[in-house]
Parts: sequence; C-alpha cells; structure tokens
Amino acid sequence: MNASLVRYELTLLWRNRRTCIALLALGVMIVFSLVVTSVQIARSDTARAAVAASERERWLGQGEKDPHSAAHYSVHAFKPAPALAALELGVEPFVGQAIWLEAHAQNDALYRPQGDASALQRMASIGPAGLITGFAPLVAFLLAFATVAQERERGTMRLSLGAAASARRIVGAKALACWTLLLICLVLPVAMLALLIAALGGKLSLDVLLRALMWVLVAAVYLGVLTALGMAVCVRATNARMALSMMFGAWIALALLAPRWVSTAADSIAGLPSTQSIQQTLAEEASGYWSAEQGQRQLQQLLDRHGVQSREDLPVDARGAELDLVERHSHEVFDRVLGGFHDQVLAQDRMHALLAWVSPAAVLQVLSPALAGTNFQHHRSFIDGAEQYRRALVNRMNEDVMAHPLNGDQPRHLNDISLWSQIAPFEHVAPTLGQVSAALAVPMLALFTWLIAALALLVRFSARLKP
Amino acid sequence: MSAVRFGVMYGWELRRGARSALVWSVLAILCASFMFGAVSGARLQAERDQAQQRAWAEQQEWYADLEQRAQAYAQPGPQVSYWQDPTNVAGFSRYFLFAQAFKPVQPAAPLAVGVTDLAPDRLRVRLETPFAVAPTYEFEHPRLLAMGQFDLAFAVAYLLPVGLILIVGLAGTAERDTGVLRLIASQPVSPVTWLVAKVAALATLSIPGVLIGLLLALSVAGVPLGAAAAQIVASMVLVTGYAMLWLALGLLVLSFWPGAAGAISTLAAIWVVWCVGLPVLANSLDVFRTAPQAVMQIDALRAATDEVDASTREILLAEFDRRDDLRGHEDRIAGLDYSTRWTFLAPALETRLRDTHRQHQQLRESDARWSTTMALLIPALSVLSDLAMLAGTDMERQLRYERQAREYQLALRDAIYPRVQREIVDPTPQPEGIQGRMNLLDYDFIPTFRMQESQRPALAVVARSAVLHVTLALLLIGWACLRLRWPQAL
Repeated sequence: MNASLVRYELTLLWRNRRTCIALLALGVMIVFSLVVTSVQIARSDTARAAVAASERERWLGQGEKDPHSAAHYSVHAFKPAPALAALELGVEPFVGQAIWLEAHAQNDALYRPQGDASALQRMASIGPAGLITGFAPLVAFLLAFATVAQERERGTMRLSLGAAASARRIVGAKALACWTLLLICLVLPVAMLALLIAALGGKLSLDVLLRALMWVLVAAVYLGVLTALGMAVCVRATNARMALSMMFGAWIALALLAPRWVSTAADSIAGLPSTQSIQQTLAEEASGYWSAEQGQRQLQQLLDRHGVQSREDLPVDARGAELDLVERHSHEVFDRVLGGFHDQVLAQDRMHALLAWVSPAAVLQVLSPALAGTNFQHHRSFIDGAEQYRRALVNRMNEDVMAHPLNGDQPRHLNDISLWSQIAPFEHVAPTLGQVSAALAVPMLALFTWLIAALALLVRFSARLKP
Repeated sequence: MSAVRFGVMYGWELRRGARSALVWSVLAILCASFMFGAVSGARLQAERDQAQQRAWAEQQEWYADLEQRAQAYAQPGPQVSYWQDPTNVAGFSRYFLFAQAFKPVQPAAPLAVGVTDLAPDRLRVRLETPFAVAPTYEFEHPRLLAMGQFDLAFAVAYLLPVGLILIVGLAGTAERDTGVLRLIASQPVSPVTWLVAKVAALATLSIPGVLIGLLLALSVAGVPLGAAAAQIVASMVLVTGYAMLWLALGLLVLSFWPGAAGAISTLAAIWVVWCVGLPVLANSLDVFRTAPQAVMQIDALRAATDEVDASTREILLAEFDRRDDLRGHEDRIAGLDYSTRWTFLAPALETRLRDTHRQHQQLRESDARWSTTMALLIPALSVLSDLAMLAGTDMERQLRYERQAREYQLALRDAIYPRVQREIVDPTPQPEGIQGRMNLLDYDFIPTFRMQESQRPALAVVARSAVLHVTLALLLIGWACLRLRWPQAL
C-alpha cells in the first residue's frame, strides 16, 4: 500500500459531499460541546475556589473557641475539576463536589453539579467523548459505505480492482483514508483544544499530557476498530442494502444498546447495598451521639486504660479523651463500612469493564473516563484524601482538649488562631496515570482485541473482494 | 386499465409485511429492549419502595426504644444530660425526633426511572434543617447516572424510532433498490396510493406490535395492570402518537424516492439531530445564564450560621420582646440550653437564607420549565418527560414532594416548638431524684407525613404530546402526499 493511493482515496472521500457534511457536522458538534463544557467547568472551578478561600478565612477567623467545637465547625473540602474533564465528563456531573469535614462523621460528598438536573439537562449530559463514542460509529460506517459499497454499486470498484495489484491493497488504502479522516476531524482538534484549555487554566502537567496522549491513542484505536468493521461488512456484503442494514444494526447494538446494557447489567450482577443500610450501620456502630449508659462505659474504658479510679484522677482531660476515643473508634468503622462500600463500587466498575468486552463503545466508556481522571476511582481518591485530612484535623483538636485536663467544674479550655493555623489548607492531589494504570489493563486488552479481530476480518474478507 | 384501489394495495402490502423477517426481527428486538428496560426500572423502584418500608419500620423501632428509655429514666438515679434524655422536650426536639417524609412509589413506576436515581424520595425531616431539605441523596453509581439508565422510557424514546427507521428505511425502499419501482410506476396505481398503502401496512404491523411489547414488558416487570390501568392506557396513547410521528417522517423521506442508504442515513441524521443535537444545543444556552453555582449555597449557609451564632443574644432578645408570653423573661436567656435556643435560631437562620433558597428553587423551577418548553421541539424529550409523569418519577412531583416536606417540617415545629418554649416561662416541675426531666411523656402528638398527589388525569398528562405528535404526523403525511410523484429517473 503506498501513500499516493491513500492520498487518492482521501481526495475521493473529501469530494463526497454527503459524507463530508456528516463528518464535519459531528466534528463541529464535538468541539462545540467541549467549549460549552469548558465554560461550565471554569465557572464551577471559580466558584469552588472562592468558597474554599472563604472557608479558610472562616476557619482561621473563628476566634477563641473550644477546640472540639472548632472540629465541629471545621471546613469544607472542595474537589477541583480534573484537567481533562471537559473532554470526558465521566462521573463528574453526578458526584459531590464538596465534603463537610466535621467531627464524628465522614460526610457524603454533596452538591452534585447535576443533582437537580431537569429531563433536558440529563438528556444533554453528553460531552465530547460521549459524542465520539456514540456517533463516530455512524459516521465511520457512512464513510466505509461511501468508499466501498457505493463504489461497488456504481461499478467504479471494478475499474479499481482491474488496475490494482491486489484487492487487499485497495481496501487497505481505503480503510487508512477513512481512519485518517475520522482522526483528523473527530479526535485531534478536540484533544488539542482540551490541552490548550487545560494550559490556560494552569492545569497542564506531564501527567495531564500523558493522559491526553493516551486518550488520543485509545480514541484512535476505537476509530480503527470502527473503520475496520465497517469496511469488512461492506466488503463482505453482497449488496449495498445488505451492507447498510448490517452496519446500522451494528451501530444500534454496539453503540446504543450495549453500553447502557453493560452498565445496567453490571449494577444488577454486582449490586450495591442501599444508602439506608450503610447509614443504619454507621448510626449503630459510630454514632456521634451516645446515650448516658454508653457514656458510662466509655468513661470506664478510659479509667481502665489509665489505671485510675475516678474521672478527676485522669492525667488527661476526660471529655477530650472520651471524644478522642469515640473518634478513633469511628475511623475503624468508617474504614470498614464506607471503605468497604467504596470497594464494592470499584468492584462493580471492574465487573463493568469485564462485561464491556461485548462492545468497543462500552470499552471506550470504561477507558475514556479512566484516562481523563473522571471515573469513580479518581473520585474516591478525593473522598479518601478529604477523610485523611478530616481525621488529622479532628485528632489535632481533640489532642489539644486532652492536653489541658479540666476534670472539675472549670470552664472549658479555649484555643485560638495559633492552633487553627497549624492546620494547612486542604489540597486535593489527584492520582497519577501510573497509580491507576492497573485498572486500565483489562479494558486496554479488550480494545486491542477488538482491533485485531476487526483487522483480521477485514484482511480475510478483502482477499475475497468481488467487484 | 382501472386504477388500483387503496384497500387492495394496503391488503397486499399488509400480507407482504406480515411475512417479512425484517419487521418481526426489529419488533422482537424492540420488545426485548422494552422488557429489559421495564425490569431494570422496576428493580430500582422496588429497592426504593423497600428502603421506605425499612425506614418506616426503623422509625417505629426508634420510638419503641425511646418509650423504653423514658420508662427507665422515670426511675430514681443521677440526672441524665438533656441531650441524652428523650423525656426532655428540648433534648427530644434536636436529638430524638425521628420524622420522615416519603415520596411513595407509584404503581406505574417501571415506565420511567425519571429522577428516582437522582433525587431523594425519603427525607429525614429535622426541625433545624433550613427549609427541610438537606442536599442528601441515595447513592446510585455515578457511572449509571452519567450513562443513563436502560429503562423503559429510554427504550421507547430512543430505540423505538431507530427500529422504525430500520423498518421503513429497508422495507420502504426495496422496490427502488431492486429496480422493481419502474415496473410498479408503469401500472395503474398512483404513487400516493402505493407508498401510503405501504407505510400504512408497516404502521399496522409495527404500532400494535410495539403496544403489545409495551404491555408485555409492564406485565413482566410486575406492574399491577388494574391499579395502573389509566397510566398504561395513557402511555399507549403516547407511544402510538410517537410511533406515528416517526412513521410519517419515514413516509416523507420515502416520498423523495431515495434508496435504502439515502432513506436510512437521512432518517438517522434526523434522529441524531432531534435526540442529541437539539438537546445539547438547547442546554448549551445555559452558558449565557449567570446562575449561581451549587457550591455557593455552602458559602451562604456558613455565612448565615456565623451571623446567627454571633448575634444569638440579640435574636433571642428581639424574639422575647416580640412575644407576649416571653416578654419579661429575658433573664432566662443565658440559661437556655442549645436545643431551646435553636427553636428561635432555626427560623432566624432561614430568614437569612431565604434569598439563596429562593434563587435555588427558582433555578430548579426555571430549568424544569425550560425542559417542558423544549419538549415541544424535541419529541423524545416529551416522551421521556410524559412517561416520567405517568410513572410518578418526574421533577414536578419531586418539587411538590419537597414543598410538602417543608410544610411538614413547619407542622412539626408548630407541634414541638411551643412545648419547648413553654418550659422557659412555665417549667414542668422536676420530679425529685428521677433520672429524666419528664416534661415529655408521649410521642403520639407528632404529626405523620402523607403526600398529597396531583389529581391530574393520566390522559391529560400525555394529551399535549400526543396531540402534537399526531398533528405533526398528519402534516408530514399531507406534505408527503402533496409532493408525491413517480420519480423522473427510474
């Protein structure tokens, strides 16, 4: 296959008005979607940064206070949008953007951008990657149809085959031309623009660059699968009608039905416990409030630990020590119950990745958010990071209460900005691509398997191409 | 030669369509999709229903436990802290009140997931939560939320048109692609009679097929056909109108005499524009709106809470001065416990948050209105919205539920706050040596939430969309008939 043949096929495709309009229309829609999403994300980031700054100011300026009351007052942790979120929305619109880091409780991440979404907003909640996943197959199949099935229908294929050394060379050149056109119109502009937007927002880093490159690679492989499948169907089909109905059916099955089916099936197979049961367990095992009887038991535990007989003999502040005891007990419960729940969510994601083998579109829906840093695994790193920060904050406050034993009737120990300022501002550190790469192995394998299978089909059918 | 009558053509096409593997295959796939969608929707709704039942049982157990503790605290012993004492009305109001508002699952819920996976249907109503509804939610995997549920509404709104496109695009162009059309054109039959008979035959097979599929799917999903009869009939009317619209669109496209490739790609392009392009475009107008971001509510809440904390004494003094029953008892303010103070502070906090809350509610309502308006232009959106309304999973019902939860919170405050505040001026005598405060001895006075449902008939819900779709379908059919001529080049 030589370059001139590919160039020639590219020219022919470019002259096909109907297919080019469809291709360019999708390309424009993808870029438009990126721009709109970027504006929305920039606004959210600005709002989050402003509220985070106010929170820090409030924390430092809360005045003289009982440190445990300060731990209740606490701060909110905010999640900045991932650098490539405009390219692939992933779960971002549907996960909480802020967590209140108060004492006694590992609160949920709240304030989901699409938490109050109307029917229209949910219907339109499709970013650039979603458009590529869902509608690139249609355009790819249309290109394949125009370049093979229609040529055969018109009789021009007969001329090409007569002049060419081998049918495979011709089909190969056509496939390469289609794939190049798809890549140039649908993937490269949006990826470059996303990087430019990340750079303008000060979010460009080596990790982001690597993620973007990987995303382009994955999208390119996806387009390769689609091109090869479309070409194979067109070469194999006995006539244009047959080719068309097979490709349209393939689009419905692979891009419309399979992704939602896979996602829903993963939820059915690896179902999650209800929020209610989680909340109930937490309330039973790590409630922030305790009864008078529980209070007695906790005090006795402290007395035993310190080998003293009465509250007044404790070397630490009894109230602080009791708060610390309850707090540290709750950490174990949160790790077991909430941590276990989040593990189950990730296990469902792994089930989703396994089921996604049925369709390249479903595979891309696993890979794309993982590479863009917008899947649940990345969100969990925010949840865990915020929780570690909360524990450090609350423990430090309780330690300060404990360190000032007031086991009589004195007024409570107070502290001020000298203590509050010891707590550094919260900063979310997103995991690097290397840290999450293990989760990419199975879907990567699936996508490349699809590519090899589609290419094998194409090579096999090309040899038998009839004019 | 006499012209062939419509009835004859229609009968012939009907028999031909009935033998078509394509038509039955597409209908079978659609039915399977409907069933999968209805069953997965029903599973989610059943989970929610069970969660509500469990929550109600938990509430009953909670009060049974409180009664036991109240009995125990009626015994002599050291006095229990007020926040650990369910017989202390002030402590009860903040630490022991267990009141919930449920949005019941409707019998036709498997029709559409709607906002079920996004919005709460089970609210723990606390007296001090500003405006009753905290931004909590039931965890649904965000991947499912982002990708959308494979529910019955998805199958009807998105997959039904695709199936009809395939049927019309392939079955309606067979003669054109095989060259038989030139033979037909030479017969004494008008193009209108021939093509309309063909599409009418396809409609006769596909619409009842789709409706039977819908009924089967709902039955398999366990929808009580009797209890949900009105909603089922209305959904069938809606689906008929929607199917007619896509078939009429198919007829119009066929009236240009394209081959299968042209027909399917044109109809698919219309599908993409209608189901994806227009919604994205309509939603993108959001960038021109300077709506407050959700996280700004945190800032408003924190600032208002700080303000209330800083001016607690002033707020209480003002309230004591305003109220005849409290005036003259200002000296007791300093000794009030945290819970009693909050019976005055909670409304004061709401006063400071009223504008933020109103802005947020107005934003939600305007988003819902915009969605309803755009449904006039986007048939799939109107189908999704109407099915959700029939299922009782729509945003309008959600907003109504949240408003009623707020009314319930106010009713709870009306029932509890006077009891708490009465203790300021006229405290119940403390029984000597008893552990509990014993100024709250039964919990039967606490009101229970009952959601008031809209009385709008089911058919009225779908009337607008059904009439719009059928009218549009008739206009498209009329347009197709007006422009139908045998093609010049065959």
